[in-house]
Amino acid sequence: MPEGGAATAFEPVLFKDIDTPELYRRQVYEAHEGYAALRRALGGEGSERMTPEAVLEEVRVSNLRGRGGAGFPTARKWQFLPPPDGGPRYLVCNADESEPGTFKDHEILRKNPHMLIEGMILAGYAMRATRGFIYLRGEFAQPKRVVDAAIREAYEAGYLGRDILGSGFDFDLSTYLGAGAYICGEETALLDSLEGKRGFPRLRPPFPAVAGLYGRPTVVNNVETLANVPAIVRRGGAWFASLGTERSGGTKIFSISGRVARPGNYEYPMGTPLRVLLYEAAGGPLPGRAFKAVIPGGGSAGLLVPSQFDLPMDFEPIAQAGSMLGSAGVIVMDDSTCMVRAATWLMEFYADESCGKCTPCREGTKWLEMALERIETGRGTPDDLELLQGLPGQILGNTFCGLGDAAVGFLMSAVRHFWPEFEAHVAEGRCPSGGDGR
Amino acid sequence: MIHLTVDGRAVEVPEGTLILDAAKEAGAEVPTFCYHHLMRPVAACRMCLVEVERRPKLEPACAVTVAEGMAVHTKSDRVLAARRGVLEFLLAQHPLDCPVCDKGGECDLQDNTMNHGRFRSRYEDPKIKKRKRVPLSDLVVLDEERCIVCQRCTRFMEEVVEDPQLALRQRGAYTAVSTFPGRPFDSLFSGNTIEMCPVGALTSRPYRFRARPWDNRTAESVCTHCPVGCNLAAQERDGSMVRVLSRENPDVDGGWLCDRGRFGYRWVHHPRRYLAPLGRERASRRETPLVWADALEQARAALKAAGPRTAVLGGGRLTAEGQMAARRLVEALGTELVDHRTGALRFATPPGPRARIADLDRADRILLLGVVPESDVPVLDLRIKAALRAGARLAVVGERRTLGERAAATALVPPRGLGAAVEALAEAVARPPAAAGAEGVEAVAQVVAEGERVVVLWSGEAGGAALARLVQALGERLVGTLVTGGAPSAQGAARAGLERGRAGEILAAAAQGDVEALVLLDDLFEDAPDPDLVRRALERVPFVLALAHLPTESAARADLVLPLAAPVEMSAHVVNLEGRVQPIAALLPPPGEARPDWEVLLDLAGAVADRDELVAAYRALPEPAFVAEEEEAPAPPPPGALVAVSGRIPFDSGVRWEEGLRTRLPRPYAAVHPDALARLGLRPGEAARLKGGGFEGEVEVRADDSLPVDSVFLPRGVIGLPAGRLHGLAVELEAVAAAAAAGEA
Amino acid sequence: MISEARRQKAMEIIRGFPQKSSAVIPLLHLWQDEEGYLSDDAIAEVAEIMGMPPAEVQEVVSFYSMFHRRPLGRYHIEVCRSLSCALMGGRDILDHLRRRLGVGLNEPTPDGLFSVGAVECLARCDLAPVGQVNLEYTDRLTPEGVDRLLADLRARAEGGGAGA
Ligand SMILES: Cc1cc2nc3c(=O)[nH]c(=O)nc-3n(C[C@H](O)[C@H](O)[C@H](O)COP(=O)(O)O)c2cc1C
Ligand code: SF4
Ligand code: FES
Repeated sequence: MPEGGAATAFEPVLFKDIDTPELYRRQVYEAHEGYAALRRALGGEGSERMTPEAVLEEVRVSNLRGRGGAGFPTARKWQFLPPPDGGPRYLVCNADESEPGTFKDHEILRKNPHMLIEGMILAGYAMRATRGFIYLRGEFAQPKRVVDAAIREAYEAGYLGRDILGSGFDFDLSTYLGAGAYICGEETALLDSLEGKRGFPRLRPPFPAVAGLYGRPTVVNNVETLANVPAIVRRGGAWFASLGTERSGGTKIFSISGRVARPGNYEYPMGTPLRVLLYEAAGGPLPGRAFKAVIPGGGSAGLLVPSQFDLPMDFEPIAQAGSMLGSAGVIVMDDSTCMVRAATWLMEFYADESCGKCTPCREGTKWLEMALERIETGRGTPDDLELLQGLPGQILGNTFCGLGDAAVGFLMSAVRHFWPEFEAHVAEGRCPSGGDGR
Repeated sequence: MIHLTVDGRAVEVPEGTLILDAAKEAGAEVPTFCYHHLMRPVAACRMCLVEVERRPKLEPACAVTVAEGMAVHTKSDRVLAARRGVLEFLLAQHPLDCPVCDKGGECDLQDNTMNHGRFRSRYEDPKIKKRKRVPLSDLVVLDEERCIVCQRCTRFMEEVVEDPQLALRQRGAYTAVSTFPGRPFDSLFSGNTIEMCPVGALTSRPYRFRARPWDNRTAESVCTHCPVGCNLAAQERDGSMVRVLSRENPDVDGGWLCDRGRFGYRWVHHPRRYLAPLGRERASRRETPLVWADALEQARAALKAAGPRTAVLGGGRLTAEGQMAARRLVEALGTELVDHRTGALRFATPPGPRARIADLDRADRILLLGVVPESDVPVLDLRIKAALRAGARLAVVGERRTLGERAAATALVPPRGLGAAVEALAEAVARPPAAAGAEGVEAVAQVVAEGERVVVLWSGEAGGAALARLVQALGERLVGTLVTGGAPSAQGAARAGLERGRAGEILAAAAQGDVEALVLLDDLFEDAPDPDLVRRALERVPFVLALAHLPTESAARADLVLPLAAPVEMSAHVVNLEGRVQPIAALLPPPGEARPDWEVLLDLAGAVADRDELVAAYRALPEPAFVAEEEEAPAPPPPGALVAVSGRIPFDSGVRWEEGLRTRLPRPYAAVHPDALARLGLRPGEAARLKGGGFEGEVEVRADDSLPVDSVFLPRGVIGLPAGRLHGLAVELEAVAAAAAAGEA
Repeated sequence: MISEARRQKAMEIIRGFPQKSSAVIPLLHLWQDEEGYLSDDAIAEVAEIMGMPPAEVQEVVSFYSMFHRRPLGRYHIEVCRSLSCALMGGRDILDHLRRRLGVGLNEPTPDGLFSVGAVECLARCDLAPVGQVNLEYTDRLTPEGVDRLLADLRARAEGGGAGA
């Protein structure tokens, strides 16, 4: 390990048994402490049974923060729900996972669906929800079959349905398949989609906690967030908190892709330096290549350059460095990568996925896509360069939802760090970065 | 109250006020596109972004409400930059075809660009090709390239009309407004989308290329197509009326117009308008134009001779001034043969208190008695829907189902069954509440009886005495009743005392030769319960005088016709169903020698008065009193028979005078429940023979699941179909082919 | 006309939701799974069952990239064009496929056997470049690999097999 830090010793939470054959089957999961947390919380007799408040308290102590991208403290989100009024309350699992370079939820869904289901039952209990949905992106037809089978098994075992484990708690759960739209990962657009509409983000307030699905109190949480809950209940919030940093408890799955030797999902404690992920986990650059830039948090995040590789991978430090931890989809670019081209590809994505509701994102992403394409293919003009300097600022912060900011995050950072490369494309009509660039 | 500053100026506004409105209060104009004050904010266009101190991002002023101590900036550099940015983005894909765009001169995009934009767009790429000139219907045309995706039109159809026929298609930069392929935009309220569209994406087909807004002259008027009296702005150019816009009156129309009102204006330019008095010789039907002096002399002489044996029929379409003048004429003649209720209306005056339209907004229960709002008082349909969204509950008693599943309870009654049903309702409301799970009238009674603020809409066609008892049973909980039936200004006619007899009896007397002169203030045929009786009466009466605009069937049979000015051709007042007296202003001079109704009627009465006197006299009249009157119960129809029920439709034969609406001209049709249709072996769209009550004719068959299975709905006001006369009678309906075969056999 | 079997299935789907409106996307999936794409008639049928105006159903259909309004090839091959796959040559695979088949995007070959589409990140970036054939994932695509894939699929089609 030439450049990487020391191998890190820690206890994995999510991937502890991930490669156990047939872990997706209930008996196998149960043989690996599966549903132990649920039994502990709901199954115990009388005073041993945990109250919903007790479950919530463990999650609060655990410092679990949302793994969907924003890092919002999970327990606090649950606490926003108004007191029960006898009507339905919903827990929705965000399994949309459409952020470019992010593929961690897919692995959990495919290999360990019961961990998510158990987490959802516990979360549902803590917030007194009556019904859960797992919103899967349309492309997840295969994982959907696995999750559906697991849900059936959970019903058969009495973990779902009426009076779960004799606790008097009822909870129903089903999957829902989207149909191809990145914006449906945004939680309010997701709710619109789940209600059978186009996925337009909603005006807030009211927040979903007050008026979410069907206008009822609703919590939306990411797959990974919810999958952490069984371990937190089983081993205690304090244990979970101790795995991470002061502000972010637990471990995190980092999806590493792009130009590295060993792309894949790697579980590491929160706050692990980026360098450890790149070298220890992912095996460093491809043979004969050198790292050029890394996106630490999915396509929506600004890039980091090698001098920033010692940053701890946690929400605040990465934000302070001008990027974001986001979904922790780590996309790696090396000396063969043309930054203009990378920016063009990403802008194509956002122009394609802009929902069309608000002006700056709808029009701005399309315009930038066209300007970038011209520059990238050698047809750019100095006016186009001016657009790259100006238009992103007209989008950033002015759009209806976070997609607009996401769309310009990479471009703005690439302009900041690699401006000469953009200029050279216009001046020379070709890419100066060598490698296998066109 | 909340205290805040806008651009440094302190303002105080009520809690819940939008920043946008608070800014206006402080004299700061914040530009908008997607925001529309009659709909919920969506904050989509981002034009209205403003800076709020201590908030990291700019906030949409159209969607964020004020907070105590807030400091808002609407002109900071950040705000101006964002605003210019949004404009630049909107113009990027915009075709910039303002010189050929109908919206030029009244386009928010144009205006906002002038006031807030930069003038050189940096966009040089080819624009995304979208569809141009897409006819969504015969009234509305869409230009997708001009659309800025503000969603006002789609939100209007979804939020206000609750009939989302317009929707978005695609996403991102390709987003466009669309109907479903092959289905026209078919809504009675479609025209509102044209007016709401902030750019030239939705335009009016009748208005297209007729004028530029700055060339138009406007007069404030009131729609006289139905009793609501929506306020409108009528516009003309070069002496020709070109369009009608809404002139929002929150208490009356709530800012909306129906398509009948918006597009029903071309009749004033119909080539067959009467331009001069006309004498007609009965035998030869020869018509001779007359000078006014001669015509009036002839008329006065005939009426004087007939004196109290003169009948005066109609009057529900006159101005308030005209109604007062008609009252003078009636007094001068000393006749009691007077009635404005020439159609199905029986009671123009409600028992108990009158409601106001705005009472619907605060009602917790709305009771419809024989009223189908969309057909009878279209814009109130939207108001009722809004009230229901706000939590009111709807109960319906009628011969047709209306407002579908929005009704908490519906009692479908057989034709002519309204009176009995109201009677039963009055009884049920007076009783202690029935057990849950009640149906029909009992269910309606349950809904109504729980109300604290009940507003009743009543057709006025039947059940007067019963309603009086219901009013009593409701007591304080009744806010009031609106009578929706009759001609648009029936309430004015009633107040002016133009109901002294019964039109039906007067016509019967006329047909027997007991009437010597007949003054027609309306067409009697369009609404007549019995057109044959009208025909016989007109033939028998020695002198028939018609005041008319157009050669209606009645006017075409008169001995003397006096030409009237249309509402947009005079300054006067009209009365709506609340009894509200609303001014109308002249937009155009009357064509030829046509004159305002009140002038003509004063001349006939030999009276002298000016307009102000007439209005003052009208206002001084007492509210007419409700006259209870028992109605005879209808004979029960033979079991298993199909019984006709008649009702208004939004576009009746009146549109034959409307160039822009001619495609809406209805052919005679008969609608029955789909099950009944199947039983009769008929298919929708097929021709069938309708027989009954001495009538036989061909009609188109339609399916309508708002009807009871044993009713046949016949539209009123459709030439060639005596719907009013057949109402309540057993009829037969059979396929034309079958009838032909039977004939041959 | 909607077959009775499908209507039954639709009703079952509708019953599975607390509110009916949620069923529209599952129903569209059902129709598309059975018919390959969503015709005007299909949309009108779903609208009828849902009790929604067809314009609103079309709005939903046109918003989501996985709903197709025109028939595709019997084997619809999609390749991810997002950053992680593009960095590993995904876009070259896409071009290669289009050249091989001589078609534009989402346009079936004359024999109706194949069509090619571009999709955004499929969440399997560790196995880039990633694609899917009739929605079943396939990964680590190479030009030679997709040539073999085309040959296999063609053989399967000729052998009378169905599906991917
Ligand atoms: C444009 C956009 C896309 C998003 N996509 C996803 C996604 O694919 N998966 C996800 O879990 N959260 C996504 N989010 C974040 C969600 O809105 C939401 O914050 C998250 O599901 C909350 O779950 P958590 O609290 O467990 O993180 C997205 C947000 C935005 C603005
Ligand atoms: S930023 Fe605007 S257009 Fe983009 S996805 Fe969000 S709401 Fe839609
Ligand atoms: S007017 Fe406020 S966002 Fe459009």
